[in-house]
Amino acid sequence: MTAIAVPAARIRRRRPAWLRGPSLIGLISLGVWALVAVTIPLWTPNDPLAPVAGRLLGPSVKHWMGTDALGRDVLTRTLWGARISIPVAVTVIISAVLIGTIIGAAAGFLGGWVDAVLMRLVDITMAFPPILLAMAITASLGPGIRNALIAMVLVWWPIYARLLRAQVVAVRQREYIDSAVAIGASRWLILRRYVLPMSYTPVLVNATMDFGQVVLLTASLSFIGLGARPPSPEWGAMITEGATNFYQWWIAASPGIAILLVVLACNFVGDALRDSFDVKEVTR
Amino acid sequence: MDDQPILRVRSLVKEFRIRERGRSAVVHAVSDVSFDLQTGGTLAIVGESGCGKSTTGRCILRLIEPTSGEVQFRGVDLLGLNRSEMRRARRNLQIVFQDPQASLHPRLTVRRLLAEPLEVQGEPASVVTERVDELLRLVQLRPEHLDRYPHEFSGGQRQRVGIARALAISPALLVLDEPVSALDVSIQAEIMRLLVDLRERLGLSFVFIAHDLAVVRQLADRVAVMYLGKIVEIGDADEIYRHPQHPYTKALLSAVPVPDPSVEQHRRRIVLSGELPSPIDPPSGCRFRTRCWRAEAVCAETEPPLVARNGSTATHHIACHFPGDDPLGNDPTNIDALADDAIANDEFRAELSAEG
Amino acid sequence: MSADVPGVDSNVTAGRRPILSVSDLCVTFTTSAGPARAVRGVTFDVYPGESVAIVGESGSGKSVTMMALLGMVANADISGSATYRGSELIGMEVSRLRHIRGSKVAMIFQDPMTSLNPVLTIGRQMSLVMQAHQPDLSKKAARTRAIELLDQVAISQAARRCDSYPHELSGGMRQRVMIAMAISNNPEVLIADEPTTALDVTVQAQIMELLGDLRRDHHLAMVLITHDLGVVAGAADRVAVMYAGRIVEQGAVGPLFADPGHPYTRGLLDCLPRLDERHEIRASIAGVPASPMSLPPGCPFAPRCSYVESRCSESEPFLERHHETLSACFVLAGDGLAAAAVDG
Repeated sequence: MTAIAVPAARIRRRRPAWLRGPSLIGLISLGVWALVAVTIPLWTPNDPLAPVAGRLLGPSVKHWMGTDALGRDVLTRTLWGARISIPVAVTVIISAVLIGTIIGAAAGFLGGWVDAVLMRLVDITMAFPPILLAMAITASLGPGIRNALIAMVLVWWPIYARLLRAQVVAVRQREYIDSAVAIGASRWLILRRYVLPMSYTPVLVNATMDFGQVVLLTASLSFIGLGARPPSPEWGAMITEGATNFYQWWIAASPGIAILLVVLACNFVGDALRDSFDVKEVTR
Repeated sequence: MDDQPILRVRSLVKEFRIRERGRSAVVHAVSDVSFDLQTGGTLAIVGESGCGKSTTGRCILRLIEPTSGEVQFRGVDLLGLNRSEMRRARRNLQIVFQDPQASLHPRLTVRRLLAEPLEVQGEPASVVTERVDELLRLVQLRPEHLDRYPHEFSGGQRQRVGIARALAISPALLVLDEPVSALDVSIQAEIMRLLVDLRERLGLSFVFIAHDLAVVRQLADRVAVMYLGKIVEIGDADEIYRHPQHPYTKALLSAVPVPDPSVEQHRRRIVLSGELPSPIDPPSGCRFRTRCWRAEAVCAETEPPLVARNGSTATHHIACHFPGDDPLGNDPTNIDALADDAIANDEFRAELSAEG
Repeated sequence: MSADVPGVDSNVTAGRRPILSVSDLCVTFTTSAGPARAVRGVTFDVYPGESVAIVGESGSGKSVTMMALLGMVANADISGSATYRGSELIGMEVSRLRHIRGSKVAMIFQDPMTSLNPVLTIGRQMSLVMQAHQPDLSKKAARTRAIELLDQVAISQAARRCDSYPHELSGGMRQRVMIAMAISNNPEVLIADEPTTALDVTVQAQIMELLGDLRRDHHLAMVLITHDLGVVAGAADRVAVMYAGRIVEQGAVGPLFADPGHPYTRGLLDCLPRLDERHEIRASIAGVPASPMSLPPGCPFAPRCSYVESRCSESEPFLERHHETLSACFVLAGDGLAAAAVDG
């Protein structure tokens, strides 16, 4: 069927998909979390590590999410937890994307044996369930948030390497690459100006969505005692503590809701990003 | 060395290795192609899909690395150059692609698309700005187009950008790979006129790749017809159009529809039977013999060389055991008859306007 | 209307009704950037056994016209009328329309690969098409008929090809299969939407010859949608030239080529590369085709027209007689010249 080309300039004027609807809510909520993480020491009335009231008090006007087994304010601890979870997730994602990009680009762009070796490495890493591999690595390095972080980077980079390689291989076949070769562009310039900018979008979309997943994995590792250790107000560690006080639901619920909100926000933004990158041509 | 050709291609071969049903096979995309292109001339390479014409074009520019052969540009064998020498040599040879939508980086503005070749070839910034403006005028685009992206243009304008980019570093030779095939008819003519105009003004030489003999009629002075990886006939354009010798050339000429009902409805047409053989396993001897109405036993046994034949001029080479007219008069095509019909039609038009 | 159409041989039309009749068809798409008026009042008739070509460049509305009358256009406002043997197609309920669409009015498209199911053998696909319209046809009979049809469209070793998958065939063969499928239910009208655009010239010659033979043998009416005036010259009895959603000129193929009455038709013919004469390249149509999103006032061709006068941008011309064709141009047709029609 004849597609009617809509002048693209007119479409462009609209607000992009990732600045509308659920995605906007997601962005705002992530923004609020980041703001809280940065500023909380300036305005919180409570110390996250010191008892402030009686033990195991339910939610009240003074302590919105109650207190835990040591009498610490749960809401304060949950908000303080963002100071751990968000920087950890950011570090993990950025490191994994960087490593994945370098390895994926090298494999896809150079091809041949470089590609074969790197991709087998990726295959081996991805043959293990991520949580198990992360557990194994953390356990062998010794528990602690820093080692959990290293483990998560090691688990995560192959995802991006494989994604980027697939894109690079596809983009490398495009005619505009021939056009760049024809004008005498060096391989480095072609990689930098042509291949990478046209390949990174799926990585970006996935990284956004994975942000929530990393927060979740950090919590999981802490939950089983391999990540942040008590008394650190890390969300996973807090859930572990809460799990022993079964009838005091607020202790575990509070960090649980925090994780939920962050993961959801990331998925909203990621979905919208994917949609806005997917639509290349507007037909009819 | 005045008559040294600007481009001399000798025994060019390109074979692709592929895996088919688990076994590796060799696709004979281009087999032993040789031709010369004189400075300022236009060689049209014509053939249908799968004949190797685009592969030949890309091998000339080493966008595809040929398997063997020689590609001499002004006497220098391009295939012997190393990577950095080749990058410098690219200044002289550029390519215009069929589909500018696919061949222009979608996220660069026209300004950057045009400046890039200059920057890559090491021109200083002051020269670049000036040259970009000049290029824009050359292809008849307006200054306000500079900051737009390729997708904001119509097909014809996009192809103008593609041509301007190819011309940026003032090449001497342009390979035009079906530059108008993707465009609407009314736009095709404009681009063709632009190309002819640029050739005259800038003294360019063209290798023009096309699937349609009608399109190149207006600007080619030499025509090479390819079939299944080989040149089957090469000669001066007028010779090829007026006295085609190879049966395939005749079939190709007769297949092109003429936009004139008075010609079209009385025309005898060669309709080839059968399908194009696979380039993985081309026929023995003459590759066209499986579809040729004049094939005899010898055609399967020996491959006809590409040489001048009785009745053809010295620069008109044909790879056929039985070139020329069918002695039995079975040739269903005759371009001269076409021309007669066209004249008759013109008279009809004249009559009509006299009455009107 | 029919009596007025030049080029329709009165011997053909005498006592015969058009098989397909389209009048004042309009199709407007709703897009996020506003309405796109793809087809704006198209009127034409197709008589049994004749071949009508609809010619235009991309965006002229030539495909949308035919898709709309077969109910194959979604998200659009469709008005006007299109009748097949007197029954109105626009607004017809889907089940009845589907019956007409597959059996009485068949369609073939530019790219057979996208119209064929890649995971079914071609024989099976042809059987399915036949059985959809002839439910009592047995599987075996359908297969026999499929082989017969493949034979008819000159596919060698039809019995073996019947078990091939679409990707195993060349482009030309796939188009033959599409044609075989289209004629499998003995249609009366065949709509061919750019049937040879994706094919090489020698294959195009094969397909056009095949279509011509089938038309003669089955007394098929054909609507040929194309941008290629060369193909039209050899295959059409009558031609309608479309520009910006309207027919700007129509008439019998001979007069339309010899003495076109619309500047657009003239321009198209002038700028065509020709094999039989070497001439200077004449780019007689400047600018770009009008967009259905933003049509200029008056005649949509006026901004590109070399005959343009001030009245052209004031109102839009309708089809009027110009010698032996009908042409929508103030300057060349109608009052511009004495309507000296040369009949016979």
